[in-house]
Amino acid sequence: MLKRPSAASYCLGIESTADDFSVGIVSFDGKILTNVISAYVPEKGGIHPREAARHHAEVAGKVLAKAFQRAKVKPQDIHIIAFSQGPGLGPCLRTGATAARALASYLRVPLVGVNHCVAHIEIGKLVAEARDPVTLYVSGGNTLVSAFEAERYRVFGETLDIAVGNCLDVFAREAGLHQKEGMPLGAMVEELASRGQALISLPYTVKGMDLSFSGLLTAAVQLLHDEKHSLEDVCFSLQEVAFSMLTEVTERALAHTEKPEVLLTGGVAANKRLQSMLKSVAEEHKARFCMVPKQYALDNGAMIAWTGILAYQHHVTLPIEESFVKLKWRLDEVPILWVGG
Amino acid sequence: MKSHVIVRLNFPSERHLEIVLSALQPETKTPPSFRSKVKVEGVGATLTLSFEASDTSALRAALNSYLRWVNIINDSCLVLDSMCKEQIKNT
Repeated sequence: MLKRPSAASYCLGIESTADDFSVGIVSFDGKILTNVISAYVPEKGGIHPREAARHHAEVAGKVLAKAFQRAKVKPQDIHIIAFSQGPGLGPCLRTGATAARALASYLRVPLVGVNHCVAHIEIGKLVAEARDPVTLYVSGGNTLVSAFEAERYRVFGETLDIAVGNCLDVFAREAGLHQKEGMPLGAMVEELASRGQALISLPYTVKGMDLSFSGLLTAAVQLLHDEKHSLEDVCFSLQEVAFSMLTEVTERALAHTEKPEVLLTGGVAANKRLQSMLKSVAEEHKARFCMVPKQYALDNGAMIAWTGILAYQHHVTLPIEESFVKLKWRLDEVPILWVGG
Repeated sequence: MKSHVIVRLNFPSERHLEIVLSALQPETKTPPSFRSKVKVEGVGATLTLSFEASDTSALRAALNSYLRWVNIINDSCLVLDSMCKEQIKNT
């Protein structure tokens, strides 16, 4: 059996909450050695959880081998295994969890269960050098505005129905656009929106600090079917309304908390228009705008590995026999022991 | 229609089976559906998966899930096995 740990210690993180299977290896001092991602691209429609899980199982060995190869570390240098324990799609989470348990058991190292949303914030703080930000996390599965307060990342605002990324993806599919590897639907909508000029009235739904995108989606799809406006103008209007809603809630959280930074992360964070809106709000409040580079804003194994290290350093581990996945694990349920102490 | 299936899988070693068991057991305690129940046991290097389901669709879903998980465990072990062999060769 392998000896462990060696002088250099690393965490191997597995991400598998939705359509991406990813393995990242990160050193205890925060150096990201590798971040290999394999995305499941459905032939048509959205993510089918069982098909996504099948994809993850098929690519897991290859992704793991590539991660070790690129990181140039030996298995005995791996000090802990971290995995995304939730929230996410059941079949996908279970597939990643099974691989993580096997690795921890093989290497006889501790296992750490990581909350996916916490991981997005922590990797954002690491790579964008943010200390205490208001975070806008926008993706296909999550839309939330959060900031640290009293040992937790508190949720200041969130979607009441679908995530903003889901809104854009469903709209794009209704418009007849097809996802390709390396070109997500959101990027196609963004490209079309950049050529739009007319702002068409659409439902703007902010309730208190929470948001709703389902009515906006229905209205935008209706505009498509009416065929009175160009696709470019509908995309432009959809983006403007959705992103204004997000910016309003983020700005209110920023004004309330007086945090020094605004962090934008998640798959939708790649959108240039959203970036510019958030940036101007941050500047108005004299806060630094921190943007997470795309490879770490998307779902990725490095964020799980890094958050696993933070948790492990505060004695958070998970016995393998109790490493159940948590499909609806909220961000604000996780004690954040490593911040503010 | 109540359905039952028992699957026996032989692994290269008892240690390999120990890894498979530890990775699978948490899934038996929190099944994704109440329509099926799975028991995992190991003797020597042999894994026994006992499936019980309320209908054949649930049985097939559970079978597929567990066999997929066994595959992912095997693939993960293979990667580590090959890396350990490489290290032995290099030293």
